[in-house]
Amino acid sequence: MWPSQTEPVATLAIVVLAVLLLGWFVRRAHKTTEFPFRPIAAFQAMQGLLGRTAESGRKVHLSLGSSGLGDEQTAAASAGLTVLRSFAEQGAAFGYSPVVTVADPILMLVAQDILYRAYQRTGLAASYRSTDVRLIAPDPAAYAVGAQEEINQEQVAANVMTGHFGDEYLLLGEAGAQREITQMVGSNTVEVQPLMMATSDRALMGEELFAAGAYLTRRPEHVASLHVQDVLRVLLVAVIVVAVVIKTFG
Amino acid sequence: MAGNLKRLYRLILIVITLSTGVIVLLSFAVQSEPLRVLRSVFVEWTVIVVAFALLLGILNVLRVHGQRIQKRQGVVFSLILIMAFLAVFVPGIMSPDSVPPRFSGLAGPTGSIASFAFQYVQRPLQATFFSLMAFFVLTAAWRAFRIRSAAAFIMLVAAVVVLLGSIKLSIGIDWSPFTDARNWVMNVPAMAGARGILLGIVLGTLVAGLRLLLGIDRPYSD
Repeated sequence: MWPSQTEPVATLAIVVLAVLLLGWFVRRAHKTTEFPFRPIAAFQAMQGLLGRTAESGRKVHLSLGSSGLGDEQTAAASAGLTVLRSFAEQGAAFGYSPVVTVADPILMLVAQDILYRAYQRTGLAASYRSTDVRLIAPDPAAYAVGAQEEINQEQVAANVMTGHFGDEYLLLGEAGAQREITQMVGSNTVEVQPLMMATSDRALMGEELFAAGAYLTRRPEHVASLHVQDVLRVLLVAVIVVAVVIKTFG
Repeated sequence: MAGNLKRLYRLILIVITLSTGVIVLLSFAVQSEPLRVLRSVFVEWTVIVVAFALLLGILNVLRVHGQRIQKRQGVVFSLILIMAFLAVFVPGIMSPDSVPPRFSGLAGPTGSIASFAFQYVQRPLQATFFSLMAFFVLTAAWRAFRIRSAAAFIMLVAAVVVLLGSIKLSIGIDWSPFTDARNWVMNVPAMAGARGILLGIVLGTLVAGLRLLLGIDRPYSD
């Protein structure tokens, strides 16, 4: 019924280690206000994006990917929601929100809730429109075709895609690239990375997608997450090097 | 008072999230029948929640396209979408027993109408759109290979090597040096880069998952 016990126990040990590290780095991050980050073009462009497009009377399209909450791509969808939260806070102050497309009904409800709460905080709850978040289709191909239609709308001035994408990314990325609009893209799929590099000057590489919270909100918990990732990466590299040495000379 | 209620509400949400997450996580690592049963119960609840969310999603789709028809934006496509939806949805939710016997084969989620829509409309359309990818790849490659930087130049050289190494034509030219070079590009630098990116993604996913599990990231509340 259960697979070999070594693997799950090792996973559990890594999770426990990560939890301990996260707790320690969160405490440390709360004590400091300076967070020196290396510049990432996509996040730099996202800051103040809604204000700039609102001034020009145009729209921002935000795609939260072709996956949803509750499956194995939940973390990527959650990173997309972090970007949405930042956009919602940027735009709600003047009653402006991005057009958000999703492929999952639960993700749609959460995205609508994030937008509504941002409007509520600024006292503009009446300006909130639930149709700013649009469920396109649960199927990746159908989603890409429907979301492509949104990108091709004349009033869309910027296209942001953060979440999980498969091959269908190219249909969306190319739509934005051919219209020569500003594109910021990030996915947790290795195969999609070259497609993103080919269609956008502001592509997030690999785990940079998960740094959205730290860069856009500067919350200590998100900054601490980056530190945990770095420590785990160093440990992983050390394990790989030791394993190679043992295998070579052992 | 309102502030206290809000804090209590937040605490309840975090406790539910944390306990559910820990139970599911432990059920994978520990051989325990009660944990396994609890996990199955949570999965069943999730299915029910997803079903309700799907209904709200359908309403969202109809509302968006209803507004488009009202504003006279892409009226034809929106009408087709709504009509296609009704044509599949209405027979799909009907029980074969609730319709006259001669129509019973048409009704239900596995009825002939739903099957026809999937087999002869959705699948061919999916295949068509994915076949268009070849042309999208071509235009994307054209844009990527314009030499604007050292990285773009390296990418172009690697692409040319891989293309030449993949040629299978036997026209009296010995392609084996290109095949060897292609194999080296694919197995050494490309594979090393892909694995590096993959390890980073795994770590990012792990930490993002922990933030959700510990209630640090709460997409469901402020």
